Amino acid sequence: MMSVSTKHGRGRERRSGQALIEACIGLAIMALAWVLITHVSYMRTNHVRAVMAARHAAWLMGHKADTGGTVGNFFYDNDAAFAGVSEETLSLSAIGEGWGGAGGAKRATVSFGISLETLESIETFPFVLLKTEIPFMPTLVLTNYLSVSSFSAWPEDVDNTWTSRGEALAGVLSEILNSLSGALKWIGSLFS
Amino acid sequence: MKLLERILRLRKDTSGSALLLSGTMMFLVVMMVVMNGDMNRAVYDRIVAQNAVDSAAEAAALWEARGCNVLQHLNNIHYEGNKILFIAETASLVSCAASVFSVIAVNVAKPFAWTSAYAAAVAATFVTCTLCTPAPTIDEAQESFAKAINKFQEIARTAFPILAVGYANQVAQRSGGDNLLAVVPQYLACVLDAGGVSWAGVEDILGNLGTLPGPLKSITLTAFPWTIIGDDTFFTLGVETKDGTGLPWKTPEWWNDMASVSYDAGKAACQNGWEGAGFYSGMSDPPDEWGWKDKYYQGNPGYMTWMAGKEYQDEVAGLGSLRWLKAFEGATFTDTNVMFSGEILNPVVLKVPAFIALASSQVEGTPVISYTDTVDSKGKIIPVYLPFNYKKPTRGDELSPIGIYH
Repeated sequence: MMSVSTKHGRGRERRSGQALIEACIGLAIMALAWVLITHVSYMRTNHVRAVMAARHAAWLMGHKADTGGTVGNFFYDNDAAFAGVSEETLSLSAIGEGWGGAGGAKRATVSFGISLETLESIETFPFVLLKTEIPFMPTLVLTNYLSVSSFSAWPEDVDNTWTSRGEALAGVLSEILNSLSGALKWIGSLFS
Repeated sequence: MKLLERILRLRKDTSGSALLLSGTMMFLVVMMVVMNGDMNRAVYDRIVAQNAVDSAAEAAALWEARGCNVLQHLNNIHYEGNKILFIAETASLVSCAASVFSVIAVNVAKPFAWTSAYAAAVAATFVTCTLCTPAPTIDEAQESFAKAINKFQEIARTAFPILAVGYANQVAQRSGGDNLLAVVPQYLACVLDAGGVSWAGVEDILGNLGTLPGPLKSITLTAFPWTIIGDDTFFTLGVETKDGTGLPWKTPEWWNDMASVSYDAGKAACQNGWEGAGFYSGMSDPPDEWGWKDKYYQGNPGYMTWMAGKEYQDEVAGLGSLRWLKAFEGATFTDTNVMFSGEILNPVVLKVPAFIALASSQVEGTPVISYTDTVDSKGKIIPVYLPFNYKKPTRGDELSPIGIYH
């Protein structure tokens, strides 16, 4: 009887701390998963917000209006500071790529997130999570998904519908000249 | 016995259960996140498709409005040109009539050739005959002018819808829209599939549309004006020619008759029976028909509905490609294997679906009309509204609708 009891006692001793160790491993992995999941979900959501913001920014650019703080309004209050917009003027052609034309478009690219340089000093959730290091985790593993960006284009100069003769004449001439120039380039490319 | 003991001991052994639980939870959470990623991707694609079609609709409306305004400007130039030419021709024809009287005056005053009255009559005849001479030229110039304006208008009416389609496509493409020749078959396949219709092969057949042969391969159709189906007004800007009524579009019959009589009489008087007749021997013959009856352009492009879309996408983690029974690939299954009833070797791969978005636009303003109907006859594009004083709503605010209207 004694020997059996001792055996059982030794067995319990062997298993003591087992759950704790498992919990340590499990919780560490879950913590990493939670950080990843939180961050990825957050960035995916903001990716969608960025495309909505880009559309409105492009619209404003097409109407020659100031984008101002419009872009920030598409994100949560604390996140507005992480959003930025850039403007690009595109030359369009009704005929095809590279032909040139009187038409143009404004492309707004809205980016959301932080740069690698600012990561070290960031204190805002959830980016601060990216500084989390769990046991055995290499440094800066979570820095590949720091920002997202989306774009949208809108026709340029939308309000200019050539209501004056001067605008109409200039617009028509521009369209003709650009198309001719594109045609000449295309013909030139056939012989080059 | 040992095996039995081991099994019995395993029932009481709780070691590893926490890890097992964590692993199970992790798997479920990761699956949910991946699904969430797919959902995000779908929402993203849907928004991009809508952005593309919205920008296309606005670009098309812009170029249709510009086309209408060009037609309107040409209408106005036509109107103003006709007015000037009508005044000039009328003055010329009045001079023709006056030249008859001045020639009579010259002949009456001829016996008194030393008098100033005679000199004045001769001078007046020179003036009136000189002014009478260009009447047929003015009439023919008006005809050429009207033809040229109408020709420009015809070209504009044909060119601007093409420009509208071209620019709409370009803008939609730059907004992230995909080639509709690929999107539509994918979308139809999704719809058929959702309706329970087997679409095996349909996608392949329709997919061939996306790979047109030869030089057509370079065509990318990103936005398409849905409303042109069954309605050809899109390609005419909804603008048609209309017969002008009243001056200066149309000269009255009495004026045409008067012009004929007046010029014939003036020409006869100027070319015969007075000292300066030699100067006018080369006066033109009268035109076949005096006066004119012109057409102008009138109408309104109305509204149009555009379509753009996004192709389907692979899932974030390729969950749709999972083959649950991959280990048994090649085996024969019967209906008793209820765990999976699909095709093993060629399973249907789930994807983030293709999207098609629609947007309508309209050219607002006075339609293309005759200058006589209203002075302010300028078409203009419909404004697109976004409140500039928009502020982020806070809890308790009464929300007002915010939208972009086309």
